[in-house]
Amino acid sequence: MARITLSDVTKSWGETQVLQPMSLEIEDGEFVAILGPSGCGKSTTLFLLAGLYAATSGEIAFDGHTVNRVDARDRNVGVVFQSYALYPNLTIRENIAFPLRFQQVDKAGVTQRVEDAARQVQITRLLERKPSQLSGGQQQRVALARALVKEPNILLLDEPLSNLDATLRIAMRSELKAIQKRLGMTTLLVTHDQLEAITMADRIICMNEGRVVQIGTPEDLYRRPANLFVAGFIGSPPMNQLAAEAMGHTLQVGRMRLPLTRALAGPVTLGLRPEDIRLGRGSIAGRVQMIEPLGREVFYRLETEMGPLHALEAGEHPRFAEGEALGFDISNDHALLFDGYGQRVTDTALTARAPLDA
Amino acid sequence: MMSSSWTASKADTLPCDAPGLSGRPNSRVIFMHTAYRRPRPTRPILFLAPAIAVLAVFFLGPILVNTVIAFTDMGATLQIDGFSLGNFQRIVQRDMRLPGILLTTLVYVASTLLLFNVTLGASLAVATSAVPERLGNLFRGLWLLPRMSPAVLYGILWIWIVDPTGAGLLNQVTGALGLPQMNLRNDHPLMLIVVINGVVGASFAMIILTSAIRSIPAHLADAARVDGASEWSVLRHVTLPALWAPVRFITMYQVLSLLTTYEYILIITGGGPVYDSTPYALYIYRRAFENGAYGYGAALALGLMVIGVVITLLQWRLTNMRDTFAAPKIEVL
Repeated sequence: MARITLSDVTKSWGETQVLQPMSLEIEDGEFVAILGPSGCGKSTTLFLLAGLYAATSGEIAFDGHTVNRVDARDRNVGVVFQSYALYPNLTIRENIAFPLRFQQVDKAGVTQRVEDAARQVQITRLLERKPSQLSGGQQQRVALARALVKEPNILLLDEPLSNLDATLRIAMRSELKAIQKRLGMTTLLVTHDQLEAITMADRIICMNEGRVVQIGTPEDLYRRPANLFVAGFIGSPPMNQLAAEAMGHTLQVGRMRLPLTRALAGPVTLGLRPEDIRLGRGSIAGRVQMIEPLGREVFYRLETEMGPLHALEAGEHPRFAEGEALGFDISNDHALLFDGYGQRVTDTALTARAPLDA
Repeated sequence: MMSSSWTASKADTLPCDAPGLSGRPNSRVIFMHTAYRRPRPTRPILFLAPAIAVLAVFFLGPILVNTVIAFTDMGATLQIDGFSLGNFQRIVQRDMRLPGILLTTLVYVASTLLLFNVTLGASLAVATSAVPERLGNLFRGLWLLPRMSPAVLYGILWIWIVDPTGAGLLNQVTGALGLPQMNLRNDHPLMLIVVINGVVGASFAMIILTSAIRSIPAHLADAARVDGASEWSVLRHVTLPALWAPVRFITMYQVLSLLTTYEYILIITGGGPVYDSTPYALYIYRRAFENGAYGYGAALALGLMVIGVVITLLQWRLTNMRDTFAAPKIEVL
């Protein structure tokens, strides 16, 4: 088990700096997800921790000990690669036992530990097969068992679920989380899937273009995103983003004017989660353009006084018909304002549900 | 379409509707046959014709001619007096040189193959993959030069290197070091032809194994490093296993190649002194063209063919070569 500390860590390939100075702390036993679009530097961060890449500057420490100059093989980290990286010429048993070849473990101990690890991920039946005879989901379990067998201090998962089909992904999500809680090892998950990050991690590090954009609990990132990037990246269907103009204590959104708690000026963006638009109970006018039933929820595309909006409502059956005019209001607690640079404005909010007269 | 396929399958279940039983053509069954008509089979012979023609003219034809000549006493005058088994009798019973030639061939093929064509080739592939890519490319390019240049040029270079006088490159080096002068062509001819062929031959494995190394997913080595492997263990557990399949192919190909080619040997040692550096293929040449015994040469050549086929079949079996072939991605007739 280990606490991870990064202090001003950067990484450059030649002239290109792929990682801007990065500082963060991960507690012992914590499950942290690094979330971001492809090319944002999340895998680079993972490989820096694994020791496969060397940091260009800054310090990486495990439990307070600097590991910058420690080889990958001496860091005692377990890594599950996106491609699983199983050794094709070895059986599953030999694959899982591979890390133990380099430790002083006797034969009986190896058998014992391989079988324990295989049991953790439920692949005891497959031990004598070759990787090519396994399905993607099974290979993924083998990769996890190989990472777990050496009882690592830190478990690093690089997009471990991205090659699985949708059903299996959901099953593995909860299974991975259960295994992590049971073994209690510090775990870092790299993913571009916001749902994966939200459902599995205790905390999320959101990255974009080589820098950390926000660190927080899944709820923090969902309800209190630091900027438009996080707001747009997290949540499905995504947050509505409406161009607005702040004029003192009023906010002009489309043809609507809404009161603000504090004076603000200039172009801003109003962010509204689809589920915070409450249909059929307010004075903002709109019309249903299209309905998409999603099973337990109904997704509406609306044309409104504020502009085009997406709304999500619980329930199996649509309450409104396509083309129907309706009134709605918005939950003020959850309406978000972003300034001209896309940063969230934290010291002001919409005051009342009722809009000002237009 | 839906209803017709339904009636067709219904017809299948009723024995009286089957054409063989009723004896009369049944309209529904006929309809079924037209509806499910298989595409007309293509004619493989048309596609294979060009390849077969080339094989016939340049491979099968010569083998046939060679086989006929092998039963004659054709000499430099190209006169044939009759057909007999004399040449084969001579191979089996009277050719005193042949056991020595076969031993030379075995030593030459085995040591060139194992020391150079596989081991040196694999080492070069590993080494040139480990250095920066451009340097590796340059080095491989240089090593390929003798393969790309005419055999005579390469041969003349070696003749200069091993020249027994002080002018030879090797003797300039030994001279500078205060060592005695060497005459490799005279004293160690077999070793010399192994080295000469091996230096060129290694480039084949070097190229093929380099691409095999490059096709190993990078994460495999990373996974091994994280698992605790040193660079040496990565080489042993990740790189070498990936080379086994191509090495099997290289071995099979190079054995045949070494058995049948002799141009460097002919140029540099001429097979001598006497027959000391004459492997089987060169022996055929020397018998046929130096001694003017075309008939006997043709019989020896048939022997080489038999040896080649037997060795290939043995290797195919021993190394489980079929394993390395993937099933075709398209349906083949």
